[in-house]
Amino acid sequence: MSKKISTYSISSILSDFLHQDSNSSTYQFKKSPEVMNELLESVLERVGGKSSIPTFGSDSVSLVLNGELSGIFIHKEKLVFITQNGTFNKSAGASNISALDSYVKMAEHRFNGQYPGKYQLLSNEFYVVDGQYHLQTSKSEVWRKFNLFNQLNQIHMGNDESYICSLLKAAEGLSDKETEAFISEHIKQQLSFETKFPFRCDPKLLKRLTTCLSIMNMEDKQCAYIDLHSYATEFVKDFILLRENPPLHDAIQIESGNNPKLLSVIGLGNATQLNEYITAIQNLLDAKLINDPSFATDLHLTIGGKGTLDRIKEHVEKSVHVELHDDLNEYSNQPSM
Amino acid sequence: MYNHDLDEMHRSLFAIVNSIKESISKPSNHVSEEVTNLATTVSYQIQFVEDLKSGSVDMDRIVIDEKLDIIEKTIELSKELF
Repeated sequence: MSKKISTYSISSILSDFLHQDSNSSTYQFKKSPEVMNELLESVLERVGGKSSIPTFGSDSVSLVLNGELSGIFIHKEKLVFITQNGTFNKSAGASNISALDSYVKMAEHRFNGQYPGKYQLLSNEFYVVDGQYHLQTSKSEVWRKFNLFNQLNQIHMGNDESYICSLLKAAEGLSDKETEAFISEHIKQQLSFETKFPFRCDPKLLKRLTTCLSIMNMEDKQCAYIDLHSYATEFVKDFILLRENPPLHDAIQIESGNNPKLLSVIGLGNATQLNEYITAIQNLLDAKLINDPSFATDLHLTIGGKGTLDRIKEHVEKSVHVELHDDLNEYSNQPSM
Repeated sequence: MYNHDLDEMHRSLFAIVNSIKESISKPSNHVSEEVTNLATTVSYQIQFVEDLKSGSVDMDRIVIDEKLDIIEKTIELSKELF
């Protein structure tokens, strides 16, 4: 049975209303999306309408990191509330602070149990991004940058693409060694089940990133940094293809003239077998376009059929697992994610 | 069926939402913590009443009546705020 109302304050009424004895019901209290939507419209009206909301520019990032900027912004055509430790400071505009603060608190209160993140309403959606989010994981400036970039990138990218893009963006300006160490710290973080790091990513994908970065020349790195979003998107696609269809992955790599060290069969046979494999695929590429409907079938026949394909797939899985755990022996007793 | 008129309750709760909207949209108004808590409370309560009306609340009848009593208290209390 639920508690009796203890006092007549609104907060105690809210607490009493939501109180449920365990096992008494399966009903889940939730806020009305219609009401939250209407209240959001009021907030937008207060700040002068959606068209008067400033765009969040890349030059604003350092202000957010320094705790100097908060408020309501448009980022990648989405509505974003940027907070500092969950609240708004003077930069949000003195007359609007209470309204913005009020709305984010309403939204936050058990609304999908998430903060920051995406809040989906009926006709609207909005995001909450916090400049100081998860300070306990922010061991250095580069970690704080990652936490902020990843919140911003998740607004318009998939989870893995956002993670990779944010890692590289945060590491911009670091030496190769420092970047590798930073990514390795993230791998450890992902493998450690004890920490409550809020962002998730397959550590095998992160390990693949260190492998790729280690063989990239300066020119390729500069190209990647010109458009990190595209690089991250291609990188994630490439990793998926490597595991799902290694020969096709390799055909694309060979056709692009990329480093053979990235091929799926590296470490599977000797140098002669590797050359034969590359030559066979190259001959097929000379005879047929990669997007020809019969290319995939011919490719599988070229490499030796289903038996070889299964062997390569097994090798890829073993490689990404071994690569990951070789470097991180202290975590090797934990299950792979 | 219940000790309260759900339609009337739903209307009263939406009247509170309209008052809150007015309070939020005026640039000169300070939105107090009480208004914030009231908005959160009413948002939950409107959804609860709608779920009751559609028959999707799995709760003991006595608990439902208690929740509806709390909603009545909220409506009463809101009159002091607006």
